[in-house]
Amino acid sequence: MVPASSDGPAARATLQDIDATAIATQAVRVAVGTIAIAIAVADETIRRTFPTRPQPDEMAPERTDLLAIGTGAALGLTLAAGERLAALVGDTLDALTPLAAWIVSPLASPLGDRLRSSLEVLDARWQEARPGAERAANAFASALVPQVVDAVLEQLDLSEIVSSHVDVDAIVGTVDLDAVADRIDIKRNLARVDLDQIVARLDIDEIVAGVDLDKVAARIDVNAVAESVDVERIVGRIDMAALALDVIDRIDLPEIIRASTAAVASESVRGVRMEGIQADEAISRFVGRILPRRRVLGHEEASSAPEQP
Amino acid sequence: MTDRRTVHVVPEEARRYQGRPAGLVSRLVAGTVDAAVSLVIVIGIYLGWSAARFLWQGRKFAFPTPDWSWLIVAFGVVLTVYLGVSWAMTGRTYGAHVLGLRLVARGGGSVHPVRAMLRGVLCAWMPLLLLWAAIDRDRRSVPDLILRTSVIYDWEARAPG
Repeated sequence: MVPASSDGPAARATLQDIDATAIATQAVRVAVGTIAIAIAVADETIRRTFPTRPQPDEMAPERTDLLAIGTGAALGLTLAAGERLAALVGDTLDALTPLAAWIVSPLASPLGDRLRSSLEVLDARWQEARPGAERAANAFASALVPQVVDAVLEQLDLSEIVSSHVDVDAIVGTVDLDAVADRIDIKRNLARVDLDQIVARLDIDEIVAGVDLDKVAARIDVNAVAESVDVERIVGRIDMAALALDVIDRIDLPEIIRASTAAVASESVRGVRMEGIQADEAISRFVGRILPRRRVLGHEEASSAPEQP
Repeated sequence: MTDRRTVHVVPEEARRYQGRPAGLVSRLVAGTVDAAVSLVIVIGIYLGWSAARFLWQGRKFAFPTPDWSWLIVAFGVVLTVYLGVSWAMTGRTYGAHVLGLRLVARGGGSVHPVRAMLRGVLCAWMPLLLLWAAIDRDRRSVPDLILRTSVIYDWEARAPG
């Protein structure tokens, strides 16, 4: 029950009149409010239907304000007029109802038939136009509902509502995560992952720099690693002869050996030996000249003949 | 093992003579050194014998005065044993070591101890037989011809294989 306004026409009415007048007044208010909301929503929706919707900043502020003020004023005037009309209609109905009932009662039956036939004609016309009207209404509603939902959602914090009213743990507890996991084809998902691209994005140097290699190395069993190494195979791949000769070339090993056997290989001993050889050659040449048939193997032969053991 | 090379400890100028038969001069010089070594050994034996006599005779000690014949015999025996043992063991005496010579068998290997001792006897008691090396085609002395041995230049320290 809507309380009656103290300064409205319904304040002076009886208890029976209060209902009719108040209902009419409230009906007018609801109708006007609905019309106002409908106008606003329809205005926004119609604007969105334009191919190139003008931006709010492109509209003149005075025009927007004037339009809003004019619309509000029109609605306010409509509301006031509606309230007064409702009060007037209520009072008039209250006054005329007994009289109308007395006048109409003898004529009720023929007038009722005639009125009924007229209504049926109108209803048939309505039934004929109904599909087109409903389609138009549905199209309008289809455009209107998203706007309304967006407007409602903008006023609601869904996250807050869910967190405060929904027991997510209980819901998750009812989910068979194992079954969900079984339905996931991990291989197929992994096949779609471009690991190269992921690896290319990784800064390996930075990752390695953060690794405590000393700690890792301390955990390595070097002896076990060494036991698994085929040292003989590695050594077999080394050209030991070439390596040794290279070392010998670098350190002049012959000179070291000569120096280590200096007692017999010193310069003086070497000189005595070479003098002996030269003397032997001289003797051989001398004998060769005296006894050609006894010519021994001399210097020239020794330099050209192959070495004996 | 493709680059098989030999590390030469023999100087370049003497390398071509290695393994060649040694001539008379080198062998005579080596023999002279060996004779000197043997003489030193005889002197050592004499001094040792004298010291033993000194310890045994005391105040009555006098240096022994052996006959020259005994000294020559002692020298010959010492030289024979010294040469034979040296050739049998290493193929070279000290004189041969100094002159870079080595006694080898006909095939180039080491000499049998018996042959080495026989050669020692021949060389110690009949040294003139060495002179045949001067006129022999292969620079062999008479003992070499008899015992089928040869003396070669060999400055390497190793023994013949």
